[in-house]
Amino acid sequence: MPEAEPILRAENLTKYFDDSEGFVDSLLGRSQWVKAVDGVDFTLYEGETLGVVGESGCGKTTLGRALLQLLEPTEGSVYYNRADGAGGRERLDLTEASSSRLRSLRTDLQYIFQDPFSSLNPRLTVGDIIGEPLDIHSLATGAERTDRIYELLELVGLNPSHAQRYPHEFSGGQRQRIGIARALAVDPEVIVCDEPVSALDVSVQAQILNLLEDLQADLGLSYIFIAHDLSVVEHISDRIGVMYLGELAEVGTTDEVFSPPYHPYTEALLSAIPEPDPRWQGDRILLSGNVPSPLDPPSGCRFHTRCPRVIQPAGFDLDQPVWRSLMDFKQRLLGEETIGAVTAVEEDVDVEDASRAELEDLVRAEFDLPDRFGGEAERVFADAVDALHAGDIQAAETTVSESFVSPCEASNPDLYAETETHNLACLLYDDEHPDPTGSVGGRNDAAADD
Amino acid sequence: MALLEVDDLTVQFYTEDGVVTAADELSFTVESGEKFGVVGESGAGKSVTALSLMRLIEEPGRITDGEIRFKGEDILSMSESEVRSIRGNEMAMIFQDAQTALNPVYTVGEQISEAVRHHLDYSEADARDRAVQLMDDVGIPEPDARYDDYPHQFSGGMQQRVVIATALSCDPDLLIADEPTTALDVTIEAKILDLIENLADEYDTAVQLITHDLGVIAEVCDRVMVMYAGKPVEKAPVDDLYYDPKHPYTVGLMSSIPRVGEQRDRLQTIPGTMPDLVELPSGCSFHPRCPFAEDACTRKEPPLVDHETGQAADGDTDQHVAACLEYTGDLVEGLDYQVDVDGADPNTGSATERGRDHGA
Repeated sequence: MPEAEPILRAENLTKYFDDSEGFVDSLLGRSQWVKAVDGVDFTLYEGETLGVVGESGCGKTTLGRALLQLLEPTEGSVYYNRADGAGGRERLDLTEASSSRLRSLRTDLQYIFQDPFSSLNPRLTVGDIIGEPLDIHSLATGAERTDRIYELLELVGLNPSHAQRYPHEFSGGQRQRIGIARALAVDPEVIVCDEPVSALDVSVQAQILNLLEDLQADLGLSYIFIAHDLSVVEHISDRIGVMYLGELAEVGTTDEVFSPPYHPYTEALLSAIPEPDPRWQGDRILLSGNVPSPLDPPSGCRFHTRCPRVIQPAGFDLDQPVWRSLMDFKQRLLGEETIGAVTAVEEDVDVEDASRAELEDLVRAEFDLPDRFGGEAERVFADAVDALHAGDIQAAETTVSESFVSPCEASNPDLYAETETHNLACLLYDDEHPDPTGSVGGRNDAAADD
Repeated sequence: MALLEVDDLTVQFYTEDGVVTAADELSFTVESGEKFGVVGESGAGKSVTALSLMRLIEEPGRITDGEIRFKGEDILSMSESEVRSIRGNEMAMIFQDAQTALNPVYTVGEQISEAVRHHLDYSEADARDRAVQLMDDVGIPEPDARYDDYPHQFSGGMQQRVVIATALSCDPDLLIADEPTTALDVTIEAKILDLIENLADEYDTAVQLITHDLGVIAEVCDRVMVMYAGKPVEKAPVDDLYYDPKHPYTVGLMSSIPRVGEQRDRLQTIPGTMPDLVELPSGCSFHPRCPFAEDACTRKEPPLVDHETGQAADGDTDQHVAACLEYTGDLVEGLDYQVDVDGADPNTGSATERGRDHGA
């Protein structure tokens, strides 16, 4: 249960990677920054599990590593409330700590890695792998060390007689148990679990999840549980943070985030899970496009390029899917240089010589636009097609980028407090940006939309 | 006659540690236009089965026994050139890892049109048109321009689309998809599954979908086979399998998946791990992990039988068969488990419980 004082708190945590290629680039100052984690704030309370979900490339792993200073954050602070041994707690800024101080703090902060095959040294016996942290921190020697190793092996459900064996003699699930035993050896307070079960078969995955939960109950551990699998995260977490392109899109208790989902991205992620039920009737939300590059994240809300509920500008009253398609049309036009980018492929029709009507049909087919959607948007669309037909892509770009502008592109929503524990970054739920048209679902009809 | 008939297929790998029987007297059929799922954990023999259908098993593996008939013709007795004319043409495969399935030094368009030129004798220009059309069909934007891109210029999801386009290029009758979405994010997975389903319907292609994910099977397939340690343990239409599983392994597999919206604190697990295929346990291979195992299970290997009649599987596609001694009357205590296929809607949080009791 959350207590007043968090055990770990990140403030504006940021990690950029330099993507410039080689010496010449750096000499000329041509550096490009991959914004892997961009200004993330969150708290972890004692004894709870905070799940972090998101698609690959959203910065989950970087976040976990930056928290424990395995990667040096570009900006921001991580505060750790350390038990001072006298019942009180002292607050430390991990980003300011010296490396020797950090090393001693690793007895409190541990990490479980994703890949149980590459995270164990193949030349060490299991006993030495688990004993290594004991040696480094001078926690136990001799018979005490051996006893502790046996105890840890038993704790994670392995046989103490396995201490003499090497990692290759174990299955994936057993190796993950060894990794957990190693993390537990120093009796930590916080463990960052980075995809601890994604390499495992389902039956073994369930064993490890249960083990992690048992250990938490017995040892009072706090977990940051990073995973891409929403059902796993939902199962194990007390609170969940949803990440998108280096930012937290939403954070709250598991119920607040998932039932019902508020943020359009969370909603889409949830709907995409394949349900092991052949009679499942739920509608899948298929997101348009791909995850944009973190080198150059979209302006405003980073999810607006794919968001099914992207807000319409004032004066527009289109069906939401039509508006989404028009936004796709705009993004495609701006991103590509040829007319082929925005037209469907039809045998026997060459887009270069197509008539105005044919061209319009091809564009509509490519973006699943209905024959008529009416209003201002229809007029702008017609102008854009005219320009395309005249071969002037530049003019078409100007036309659409002047008219098809969502408020979501203009302002980046802050994490807005929906309830005391539930924060989400979406203009739909932000009181200060009331939905200008009132036509798109807001907070009250979020559930009714589904 | 079914499109694909596999009889008693046995595949063995001769390794230093001993002989691994990766597929053990495996029999199944795939009807034309059908979507057939194969599910199991790693080491169950799923991929080996798929590869042997295309006769792609490499040393030290060997198909030691059995028959694979595709459209009535025995693949195993064909000459290499005859197999080549089927492979990628009438029978095509989608691999798990698109990045390794694509050749990095050829453009994606080249790789798609290669099969068309080779199998269908298209001219250079026609093959290109066909490839562009296919790329559009699988949802690659701006196919004409991207024809000349190399695989590394595509994202993972787009690479998998290229692999699918390659597989569909010759309009195959059977598409074998081996974990097609395992390497992808859920949002991309949903799109790719949707695509495979739609294209299979459109081209009237039979699909054999291999995966470890029961959710994927439930979404796509009509019929499913559960494999364990190289053997099929249960085979049934999807509805029967999910709502009324008959083999303890299937039950264990289903109850170990966490589900969104459920309130269970602990997951049920299958104790232990998949056995070493060199030294399979005696009797039923699943008995060391089975909560209902009895003495008989360690001695007698259970045949695949109809769960109602106890008669051997006869190849009827609607039949629900399971390999457990329960159904041959050899168990004293019997099975006792309960299945909840909880149709909770994550969007509303409401749940409609559907359960079924299995008394001893």
